[in-house]
Amino acid sequence: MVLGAATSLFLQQYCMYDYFYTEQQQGFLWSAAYFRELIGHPGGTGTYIARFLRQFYCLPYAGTTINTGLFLLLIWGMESLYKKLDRVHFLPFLSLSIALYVLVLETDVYYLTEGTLSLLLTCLILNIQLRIKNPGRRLTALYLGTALTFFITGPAAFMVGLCGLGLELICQKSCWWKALGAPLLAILLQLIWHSTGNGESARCIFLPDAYYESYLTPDFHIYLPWIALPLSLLLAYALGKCPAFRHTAVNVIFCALQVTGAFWLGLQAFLVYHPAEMTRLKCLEVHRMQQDWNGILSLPYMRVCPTTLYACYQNLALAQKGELAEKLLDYPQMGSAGLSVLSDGSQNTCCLLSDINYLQGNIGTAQRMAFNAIRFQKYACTQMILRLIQTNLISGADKVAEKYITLLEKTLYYREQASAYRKFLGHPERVLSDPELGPRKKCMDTSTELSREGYSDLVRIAEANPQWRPNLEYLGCIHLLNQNQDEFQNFLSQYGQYLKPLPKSFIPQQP
Amino acid sequence: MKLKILHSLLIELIIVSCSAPSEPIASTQLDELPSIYPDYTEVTVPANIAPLRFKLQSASNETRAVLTCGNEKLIQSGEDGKFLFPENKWKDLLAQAAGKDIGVRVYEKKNGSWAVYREFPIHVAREEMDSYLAYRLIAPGYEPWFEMGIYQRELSSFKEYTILQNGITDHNCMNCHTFNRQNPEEMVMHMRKTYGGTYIYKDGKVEKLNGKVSNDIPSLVYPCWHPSGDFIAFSSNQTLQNFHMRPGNRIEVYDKESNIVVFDLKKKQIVTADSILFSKEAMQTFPNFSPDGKTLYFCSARADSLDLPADYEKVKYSLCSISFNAETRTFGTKADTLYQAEKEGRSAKFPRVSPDGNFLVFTLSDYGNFSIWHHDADLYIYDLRKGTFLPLQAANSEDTESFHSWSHNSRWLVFSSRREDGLYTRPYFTYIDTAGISHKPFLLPQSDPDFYQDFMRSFNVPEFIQGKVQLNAKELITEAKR
Repeated sequence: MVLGAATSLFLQQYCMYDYFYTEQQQGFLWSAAYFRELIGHPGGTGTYIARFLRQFYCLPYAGTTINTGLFLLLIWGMESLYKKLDRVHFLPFLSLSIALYVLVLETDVYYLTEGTLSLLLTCLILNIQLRIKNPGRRLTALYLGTALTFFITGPAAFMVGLCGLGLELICQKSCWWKALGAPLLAILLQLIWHSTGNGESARCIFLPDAYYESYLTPDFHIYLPWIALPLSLLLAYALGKCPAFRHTAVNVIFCALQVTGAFWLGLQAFLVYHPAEMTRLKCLEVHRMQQDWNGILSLPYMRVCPTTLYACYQNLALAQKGELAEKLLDYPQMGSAGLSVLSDGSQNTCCLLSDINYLQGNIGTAQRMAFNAIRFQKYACTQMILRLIQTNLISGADKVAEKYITLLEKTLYYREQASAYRKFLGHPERVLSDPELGPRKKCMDTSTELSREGYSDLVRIAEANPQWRPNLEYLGCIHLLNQNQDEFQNFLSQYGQYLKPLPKSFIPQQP
Repeated sequence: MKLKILHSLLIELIIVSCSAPSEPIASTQLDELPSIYPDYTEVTVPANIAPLRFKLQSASNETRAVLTCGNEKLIQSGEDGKFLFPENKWKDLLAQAAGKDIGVRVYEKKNGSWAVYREFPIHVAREEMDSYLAYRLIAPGYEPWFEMGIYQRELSSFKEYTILQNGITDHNCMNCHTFNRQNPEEMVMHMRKTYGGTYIYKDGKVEKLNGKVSNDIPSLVYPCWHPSGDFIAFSSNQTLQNFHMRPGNRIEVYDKESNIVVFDLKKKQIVTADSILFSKEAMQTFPNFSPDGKTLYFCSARADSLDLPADYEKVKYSLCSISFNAETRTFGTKADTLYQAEKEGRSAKFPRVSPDGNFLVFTLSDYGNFSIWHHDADLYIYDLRKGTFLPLQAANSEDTESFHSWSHNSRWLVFSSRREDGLYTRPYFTYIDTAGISHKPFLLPQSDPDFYQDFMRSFNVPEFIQGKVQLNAKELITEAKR
């Protein structure tokens, strides 16, 4: 209870944004087709369960609670194994250090919860194996467990087979050789799956790489729990052969040292694998997703160590509040690049640029960036699927808008938002009169000239709908930050009438 | 006594649950056709197609569908309005129906009694279509991609097999899978970025050609096999893309340069033609050999006077042909123009000659060559015997029709269409009769009629094949790494 409460408090304090951020990385649909799609291949069940759990991360405290639960379950699963192997000593270091490490891994945006679930399943099957006395049934359980693990979580099957063989070797010496087939069975199943060519690359079929975003090659650190687990079992077995400490005080000190050591290791892992830069970016992204513009502006590092990217978030927040031109110069600026960064193709940048362009009324680019953002995972990045609904309704592509509405109606937490857009389908007049969609529709340039990106697009939007103030403010700010006085004066003479009262930073300074 | 009653109730329950549904007796005859998805009303299908499972869109009550052909009858209860015809019973019905019609009656229970919609026919052609369809599945994204793969679908069932998925090739781009006369044993395709190059699968082996052949030929793009299997014609394009700000066509993909070359598979040499196919003054693309291999059809647009991308709407491709001598590896000195863009006002692409040599189907849109992003793109058929062309009236829709491929018997055409929602490309099949007239097309049937609603990938470059591609993906990667 104490451990659970302490873990929850820590996670809530330091990892809250990790979970909100992670929720957008994968999607979960409440549909039979989605279930069939995932369940039909090895590892798919684990993915289904992991995504089911992750869909709740958008709720406050849900990520913390779920991760605390997984953490405690892992400790419980491993402790029961160690207790079976070492009946003499209490070994909290082993379970705590591994579980804490996994807890840290869960904050890595590219780590997949399937990895944690597969560790849990491995512990469960090994526990079952250790508790069955009858050799025949025990081996049957091991073989079935190995096959089951392969179908549920993929490559972890080999670890089940290997640890199962190890346990037979050290605990049931008489017929250990009968367990030799368990790791071989895992390899055989993996080979068969690999030979079909239907799966991912070999490293995702045979290695824990499957528990990391497949398009990335993970660092060695994701292998550590899988190396530590069999070693910890061996260590527990070896320690079980040593006599118990005679004095209670020694036992208590030994235990305290282990707990301290485990937490120290956990903390080191947290510091290494939870870099401040990434945490800041996640925090900014979460504020952006939640449209907490004041939250972005109040982040201390925005002023302390401004970057072009931070300036972009800051200026978007100001623009969303209608204060971009008013307070532009009250905040640190990084030139006109701080109004709209260049896309590096990452999901974050694409989402940010989609938001900026949507606000500016540049519907084509907002849609393009939304498309680019959702390309990594099917049904993921729901906020950008919502953007596709908006932009397609604005451009009159109702059929495809309906497709995205139907898709989001199969999610748990976005169905209401999506359904609210149904009323616009087949009703362009409603789109025009809507305070969000209408003005943006008027921003759509009707000429056939192709987009030239950036400044020239904003000029065309201004020509199409000079009353759309966010675009005009961005346009004026570009001139200001580029220190182009002539262009700025031309801009003011052309569009100043639509910007009354003139925002503070647009008022000419008296010499 | 109680036991006996329970026993008889149980038996009754078993009998009721196991017995096939019967055709309802309708108390109301509705005048309208049922609103079903996919729309299979009055379509023409081959006798070797998977069950045309559909959904009654308005269904809120008990539903039933009755399919009849002669003495054969298939009665199916709806599940949430979906009629999931079993494959074996469907095959039995189709076996009887070749060259005839299947009558479809859809019943819906309304206010406690059955109502029947107006019966509609499904026409079953005598000629079968090729047994497999190959296609690329890709999100209809703009610039970058992530997941894509080339797949093949057995058309008489719902089985889909992977030919190659980019999960095992570092998420690179793979495209332009093309077969020699629908032969699954002769395929060419490209990969870009990681493992970049052109791959030829022939005689069970994979061979890689490097993507950049020479400075004049930066890349090999749209391919077409010579029927002998000894040559492949490629266009070599310098392709760029820009984006629209206005509603409608989202992307503009265009060529800055393009030429046509022929690769000699035996001598491993590139054969370039004279100025007609390889010049700076014009852009030539989309090569397609006639079935006898003596003529090469292609599209050509003037390039010298255009400022791209500003003039993107002025790029219009004509449809041309030129003779080819496979023995001397030479082209004729004069090209014929079948469709003259400057005169007709529109732009031609994707010429594909029917295997019997009688027809050529091509795509026409207002301008440019990347018609999948053009809502006005439609299919046209050119009668090579008469020298006339007409739109494929029944096959075309309000939205995009673009890529297309013939079945080996020249009676079926598969084509990509965006008629569903204007964005996601889906494969449709149309029967082309001996007069070159298309019949109402049907959407590739899926196991679940709702499949296309949730599916977030486009079916790209649908190509008929006469059997299953046996390409070993691992072998291809080994060759790629070499």
